Parts: sequence; structure tokens; C-alpha cells
Amino acid sequence: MTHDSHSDRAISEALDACRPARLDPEGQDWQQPEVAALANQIAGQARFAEQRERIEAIDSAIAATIVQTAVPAGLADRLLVALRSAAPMQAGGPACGAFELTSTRDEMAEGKNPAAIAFSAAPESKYLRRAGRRTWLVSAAALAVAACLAGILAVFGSSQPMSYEQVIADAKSFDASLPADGWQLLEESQPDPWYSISSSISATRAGWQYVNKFLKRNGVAYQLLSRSRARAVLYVVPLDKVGRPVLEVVGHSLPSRPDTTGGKATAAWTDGQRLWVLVVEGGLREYESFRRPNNIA
Amino acid sequence: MAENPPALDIAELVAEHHAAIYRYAYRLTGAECDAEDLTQQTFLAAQVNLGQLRDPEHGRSWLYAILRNSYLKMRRKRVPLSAASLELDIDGIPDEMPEIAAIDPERLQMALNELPDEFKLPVLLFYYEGCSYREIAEKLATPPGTVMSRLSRAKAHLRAKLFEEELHAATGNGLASRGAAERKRRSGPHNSAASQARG
Repeated sequence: MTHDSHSDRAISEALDACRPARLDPEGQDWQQPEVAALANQIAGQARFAEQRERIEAIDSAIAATIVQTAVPAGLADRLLVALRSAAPMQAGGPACGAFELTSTRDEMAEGKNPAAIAFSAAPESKYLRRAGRRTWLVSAAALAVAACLAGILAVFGSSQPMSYEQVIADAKSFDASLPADGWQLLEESQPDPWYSISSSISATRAGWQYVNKFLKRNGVAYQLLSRSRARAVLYVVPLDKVGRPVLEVVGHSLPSRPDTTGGKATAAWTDGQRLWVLVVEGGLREYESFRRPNNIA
Repeated sequence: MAENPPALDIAELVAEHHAAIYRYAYRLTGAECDAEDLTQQTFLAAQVNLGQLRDPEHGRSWLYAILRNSYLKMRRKRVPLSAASLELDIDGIPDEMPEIAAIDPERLQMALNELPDEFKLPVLLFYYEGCSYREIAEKLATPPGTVMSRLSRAKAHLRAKLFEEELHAATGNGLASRGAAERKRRSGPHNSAASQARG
């Protein structure tokens, strides 16, 4: 490599490394020791001025494009569900496991030595997959190997989809343990619209709450009142998460024949993305009072 | 007596920063599902370490740092791209300034996906966070000269991928003879590494 080409390479690197004027209006980048001499060398040279102008224009275009990414609907609510779900585990302190992440220097202008800041690992939630799940398993295995393996086997061990009957049985079991004091008033807050009530249902909403581990999913439960004052809980959860059991629920509207055992009428249906499970207190008559007119399964 | 800092609420951090964190995560991972996982991992870690954040004004950069750490932690479990496979021509800059509308976000993402992490992180710190090369060096605990070199190669790679047609036209004008060689290599920057691995 000739001296000139070596110098050109250094100048190109400097042109790429120093920020455009809109981000560095005082040109502080060009005053740094690595580039200050080069700045003097290229001052007044038209070809480098032109090159810098092109680079800055392209940089501006790329910077403007790089922040243009659509954010999935309902992301904030899903995050809050996961955080709420993880909070009790995190309160457990060391049981959650901790690791230091020091591959990058953690910057915070708070008087701390940046390199000394270490983040504790967040506990796993059921939304996390692949690397995150494995990470949690490694951490948790030190304290609860047996429990973790059992959980993983429960999720991954079976290649068989969960049958409709299993869905109903699990839903009824979950419904029996649903906390009675966890309801939020709809006048005060609303769940994410993605977790909407199925159009098959005709009812008055009395309240709602986030639910965790309903069929191994996070979602929303609605307290409903029918036109005949029958009471029910409607669960809405996503179907599209990898690593969860497939549910054999294929109906796309309120089924005509619910399970009516245990003093409750329970049925499930889906639109391909969301799963709805309706658990009605009572029998077939109360169940039918939630059906939207002209909606025949 | 010093005033107590205002109480921080993870829900407020989510409300204020989840979109920026998700976008950053998407640019790092290149996949929506991975980006959402990484975003969630970031806020879960933030919730655990919320006490470290004493100044809410630094919330975003604090979350960015957690995001990068979480990303690297995740990537350690996967086979990294080889830095040696990124032999690019840093002089291959298009002669004409392309229109901003000409930048295809998906094409940009594909170009980012091809970058090894040691190149991708500096270039995202530069473009997404607007950091100077000195700040990037500090955040990544990497010498400034190394950051400059990686930034330049990574940016050249993006330009080559985004403005291939312009570069091709420039070749005819004798501007980017090295760019032509680079395009030949670029028939897959990692193809050579892959073929070596197969061989």
C-alpha cells in the first residue's frame, strides 16, 4: 500500500467516523486527536469536501430510514403483562438467578464507573423463546433443576396438540382459581384492543384483568353479563407464539354445544390468531344468553 | 440535604420507550419475533435493575445499553458471522447522491443482517443513537481507531448494498474499479466463508 493510498484510507475512515454537522454542529468530532491532523490535511481540498458532503447526505438518508420500523400493535400491553407476570419471580431475588453482562460498557452519566455497572438477568417469561429461554434455564437450573426440566418437558416434550377437551378442562381449572379481586373497571382503564371480545358474543362488560398462564399464554379476561343477567368470564389469548402447545380449536364462532359439566357451560373458538374461551355460570340456557342473535355455529 | 430522586415506574418506561427499543431491537435482530423477545428481555432486565437508573432523563440510553447487552447475550448462543468475510471497498461510494426515497428499509435491513456484530453495533450506535465515534468506543470498550475502521467498513457495506445500481453506473465512468471487484466478492460476503466451512 502506498503512502497516498494509506492516507486516503485514513481520511475515508475519518470522514465516515465523524458525525454530520446536524449532529455535531461545533465539529467536536474533528477536534479529536485521531482525526485533528487529517482535518488540517484535507482542509480546502475540494474532492474531500465533496466526498464528505456525499457521505453526510447518505448518512442522513440512512439515519432517517433506520428508525422507520412499524411497532406491533399491543406491544406495550404485552410487555406490561410479562412484567407483571415476572414481578413475583423477581421479588424472589437470588432465586431468579443473576449474571453479569459486561460485553459492552454500560453507559450512564450518573456518577458510576460505566464499566462497573452490571445488569442482573431478567427472569424468563413465557413470551421468551430460543436464546432467552435457554438463558433462564441455565440460571434457574442451579437452584431448581428438577422444576425447570419438568416445565420444559411440559412445553416441548409433547408433540401432540392439546385437544379441545383438554383446552376446556384447563380453562375450567384456571377459571376456578381466578382471583376475584383482580378486576379493573373499564371506565378507568382498557386492555389492548387486540384482546377484543369476539363478535360472536353479546354481553355487557363488567370488568377485565390480565391473566397469566392461561393455556400457557398471557391474555385478558373479561367479566361479562348477558341480557338475562347471566354471568360469565371470557378469556382472550394469542395463538401465535412458538413453543406453546397447539390447540385443537377450529371453530370460528360461539359453539352450539358447550361443555356443561361442573355447573358451568364452557366453550372455545378462534379466529386463527386469538383464542376465546367462554366460561358461563350455569347451563345451556345461560350460555345461550351470550350468543349474539343470528350467530349460529 | 439532597432531594430524593423521583420514583421510577417500569410502566412509564414501557409507555415512553417501548417503540424506540423495539425499533432498535428489530434493526439488531432483523426479525420481528426476535425483536419482540429482545424488547421484552430488555424491559424485564430493566425492571430487575430499576434501582440503577437514578436519572429518568437517561432512561432511553440506559435501556439501549441493556438492549445491547441482552442482544449480545442472545447472540452468544448462536454462530456469529465471521468478520474476516467482510472485505469491502470503502471507496465504493456512489458518485451521485441518491434520493432519500430510494432507500428501501428492507434492503437496509438485509444489509444490516449481513454485518457481524462487531460492525453492526458501531453502525447502529452511529445511525440510531447518533453517537460520536469516541462515545461508541467508550460504550463498546473498544479503541477509537478500531471503531473508526469498523464504522467505515460497515458504512461502506451499507452503501454498496443500498446503492448497487449507482455504483454499477459509476464503474462505467471509471470511478469504482475496486467497487466492481467488491461486487464480485459480494455475490455473497459470507459465501466464501461458507464454502470454506463446507470444504
